[in-house]
Amino acid sequence: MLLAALAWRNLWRRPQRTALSLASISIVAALLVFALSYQLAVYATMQESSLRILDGFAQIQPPGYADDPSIERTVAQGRTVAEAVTRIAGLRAAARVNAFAILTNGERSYGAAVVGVDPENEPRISSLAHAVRKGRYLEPSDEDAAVVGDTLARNLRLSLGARVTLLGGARDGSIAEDVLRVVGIYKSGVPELDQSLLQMPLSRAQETFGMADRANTIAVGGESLRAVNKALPSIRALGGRFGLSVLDWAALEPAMRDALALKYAISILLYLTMIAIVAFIILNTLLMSLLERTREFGVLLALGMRPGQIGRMVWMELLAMTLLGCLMGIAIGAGATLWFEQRGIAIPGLEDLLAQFGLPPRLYPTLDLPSVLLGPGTILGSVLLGGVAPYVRILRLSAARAMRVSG
Amino acid sequence: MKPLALLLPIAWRNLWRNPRRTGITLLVVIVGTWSILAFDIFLAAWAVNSRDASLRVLTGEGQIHAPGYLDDPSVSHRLPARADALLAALDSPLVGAWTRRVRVPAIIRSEYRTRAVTLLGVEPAKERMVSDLPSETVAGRYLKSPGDAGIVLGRDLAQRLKTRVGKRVVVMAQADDGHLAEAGFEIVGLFGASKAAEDEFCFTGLGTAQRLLGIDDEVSEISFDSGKQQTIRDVVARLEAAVPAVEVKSWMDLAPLAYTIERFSQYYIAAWLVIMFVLMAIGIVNTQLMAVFERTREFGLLQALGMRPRLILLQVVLESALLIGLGILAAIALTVLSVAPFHRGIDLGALAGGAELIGAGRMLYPAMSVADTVRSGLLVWLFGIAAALWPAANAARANPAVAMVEP
Amino acid sequence: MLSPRVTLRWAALEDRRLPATVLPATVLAAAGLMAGLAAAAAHASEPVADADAILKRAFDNYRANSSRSTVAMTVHRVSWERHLQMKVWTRGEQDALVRFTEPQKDAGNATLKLGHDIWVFNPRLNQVIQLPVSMMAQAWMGSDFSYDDLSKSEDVLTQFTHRLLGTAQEDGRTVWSIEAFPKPEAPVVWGKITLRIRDDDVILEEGFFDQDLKIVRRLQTDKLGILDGRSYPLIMTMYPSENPGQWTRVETSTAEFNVAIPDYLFTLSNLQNPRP
Repeated sequence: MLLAALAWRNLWRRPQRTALSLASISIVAALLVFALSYQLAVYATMQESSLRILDGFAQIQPPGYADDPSIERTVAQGRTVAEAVTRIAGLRAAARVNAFAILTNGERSYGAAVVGVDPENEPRISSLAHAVRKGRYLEPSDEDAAVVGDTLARNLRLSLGARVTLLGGARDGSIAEDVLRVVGIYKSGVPELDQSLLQMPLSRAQETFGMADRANTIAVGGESLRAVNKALPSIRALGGRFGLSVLDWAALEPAMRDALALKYAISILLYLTMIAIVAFIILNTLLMSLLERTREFGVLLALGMRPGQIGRMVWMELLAMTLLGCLMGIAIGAGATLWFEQRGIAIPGLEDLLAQFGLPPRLYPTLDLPSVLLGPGTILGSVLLGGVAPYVRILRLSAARAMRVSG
Repeated sequence: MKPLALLLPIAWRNLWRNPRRTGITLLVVIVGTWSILAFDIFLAAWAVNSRDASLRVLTGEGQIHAPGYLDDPSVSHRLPARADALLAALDSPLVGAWTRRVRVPAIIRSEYRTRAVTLLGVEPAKERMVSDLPSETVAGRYLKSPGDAGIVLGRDLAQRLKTRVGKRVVVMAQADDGHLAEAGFEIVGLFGASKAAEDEFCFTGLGTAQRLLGIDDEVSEISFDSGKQQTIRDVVARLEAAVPAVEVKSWMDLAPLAYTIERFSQYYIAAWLVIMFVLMAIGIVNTQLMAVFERTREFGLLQALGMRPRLILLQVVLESALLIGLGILAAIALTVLSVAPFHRGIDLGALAGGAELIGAGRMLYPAMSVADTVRSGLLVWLFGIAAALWPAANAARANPAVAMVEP
Repeated sequence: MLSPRVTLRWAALEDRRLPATVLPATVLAAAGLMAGLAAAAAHASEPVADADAILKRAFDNYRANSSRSTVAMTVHRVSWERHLQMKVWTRGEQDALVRFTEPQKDAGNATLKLGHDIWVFNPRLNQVIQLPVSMMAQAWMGSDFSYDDLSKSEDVLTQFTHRLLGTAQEDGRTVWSIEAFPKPEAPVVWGKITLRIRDDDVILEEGFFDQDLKIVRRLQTDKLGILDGRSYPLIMTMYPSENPGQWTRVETSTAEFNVAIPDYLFTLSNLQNPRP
């Protein structure tokens, strides 16, 4: 591989130049590695935060519930199914009763959604459980406790300790009625949840709404959205055994899926443009250097080297440089990502706004194979592809004319 | 400035002594600068798109309500009809487009289904100026006037209700005096938007809604955009001062998430532009280094002839300045050319693969502002020259004796 | 970035029960239908006059100025069936009071309707609650009728024009077929309503059609008898055409018509504390 050796040495004949080109490639490569990790992490964080409020990362539902969320559609032995889910590694599950009722306090009444939650498991899945501003969330020992959104509390003039009556329709169609004590008031930042949601203990809800041991949905959570997505086949298998449907996050929030698709599409467009530009700049520099080395090539031709060989040598220079630049970029990008993975990135001024939505104040990029390889890989590909043009050009050189070119 | 007067024409001619070399660097500058300008425009348009996607679904830049409406959006919280101070403020230059609405919870019934919705009584012409909902009429027609007695439903809602254009539905809402008012409406059109919006909102003429609820000329809310040259915060503050009896909120309070995203976008855009610039700068430095290297003999000769290194530096800097300046001008022209065909907007529908996008969220409107372009151009020029200082310094350091011997 | 908009999947904001403008079983709506058709009769021309007269008599027979009755309602679904017993008092066309007596779980619950407005009473909570708009889409006591159906039953019916379709002979009795169409501006969802009425002023059958004139539900009288001296539909069953396995049956076991019913019965205080 004489050509390869020559190619490598050629690179270092002009260290400054090579260093600069290396710099631009590695900057872009590092950037792409970091940006992809960061972006994937940010989107994942926002997705997770949003899903974690109430939906969960996936849900197990009775068949047909998604189109017709009526209390009559149930999951038999709700708690048992939830427990079965938790036996899948790393997953958490909480059974829920979903009903609708009129809430009354004195003269005032409002229609609201009533969700019976399992005080032990719900906090492991839902961030709403941690959004209580006054009082506390439900506890396993609670019987007639309730937590409400702050707007609902305001509209109904409910304070901590106040009693609220509930009148709705039970599963079998009979009247469901109950009186609960407000033990906590939460603020989620989502108007619908703050205005029209009441949570009560699951057992009590099952009693009040005539559910026996049934539930309406099982919310599934886990370490991360990705972890739950990976476990989906197992969850579906479990659902199949019980004759239940399993909905992933995209089925639960199709609008989110669409919004993400758009953002990814635009980001990819941006990245591709950036890669195109850096490739263009590199190749331009290459062209310049080739022009400068015309005489050198002329000499090589005269010495008996064939144009094809010169071309391949130049292409290998390009390959070596780009590869080296990419590797450096990967090292820098991965290093930066790992560093921030530990510490998180705080964007000044946005922390309080993020906190309002229960989003963590610091964003944590995560490193994984796709984010590492995708960006640099594309750079490599486009530069090498673009390098075909100079290659062709070299093929057309003739020794004599080449040697006559002055510097 | 005599050296300047002398060197400038020389610098210019030097550029064209080797058109190929100059051309290559020029290309780098043009492509680099174009990418900076175009990215700036595109990303800014995207930020506006994201913001508008939230805002122009009824929100507007600001809204005015009676106190208590936001917690309890019912007919009992209304803006008074004869509010001279308010009307005067709205007609002043403080406020741009504005529109009034009745907005209350209601029940809609077809032969087959009954659903809870939000009824909107609007002034169609004015509504269009502030909100994009409903912008896309997928069947039938939109409302013709505030007195229009027809109703426009979301496409998905019509499907759920098993009804269509031309059929009659019955709408029921709580009237001012507490009783449940109802009226039959002919469906005159269906609108398309996100599924959630399609399912929630029903539009009829403002007068029709007022008659149904028995509220004379009163409304639930006023949505407005700030006047030209006004900042929304300013407008909100002054409106509140002018009319203390009402609650004025800006979109930042009404849609805090959109606000967070917008602020985040500004950082994002700035980061991108810096990166593009760095890439371009590296390209310039590289090509200029090579150019200078090729001309080492020339510089050595000049020094031998008595030209002081400082002047050589100046000359090379001038060459770079002219080169970069030329490139920037060409890039600006190129930007204009590339943005002009999209002045009607870019339809993002294709990108997101059929994702449901409403009104403003669908279109990107790239806008070029003369002031911004000139400022960006100047900045790139100055920083470009700064980048070119390094190669220029190299030129000045040429040792005449050594230089002249170089082949 | 993403919006933390979360859709709540709560039960029954989507009503899957069919709206009915007639609640034959509880006397509320059917009476209204009669009233409405009767009212429209006043404006009818020659061929319609017969229909009006027929309907007016049927109304007078069915509802009277006041009534007091005992009713049993059976709600049948594919997987279960519920039986409810109730006492019903009506006053005029607009007002009605229903008290449930069985089963045990629902006993003591009551619904008071005054015009368009509805209040519910629950004995365990000991509270009277006016139904907010958002609850109107909910089912009334788990039946196929929503609260909304109860509230707007009669008014709708004053908005029909009708005509006599034909006359037939069944079991030695004359049966009239009548077709009713909503007036242009009427707040009515139906495309048309058809009725078959017997010459002793009893409704044998009623059909509700959508605006494409496809049948949506059918109300059928399964058994006739004499109550307080009147021919009366003792058992009526509502069959929705969308869900074949589903129906609601109403049986009137006792009834007294044009009795003096004290006005205090139709008040909120009485709703909560019934006077013996």
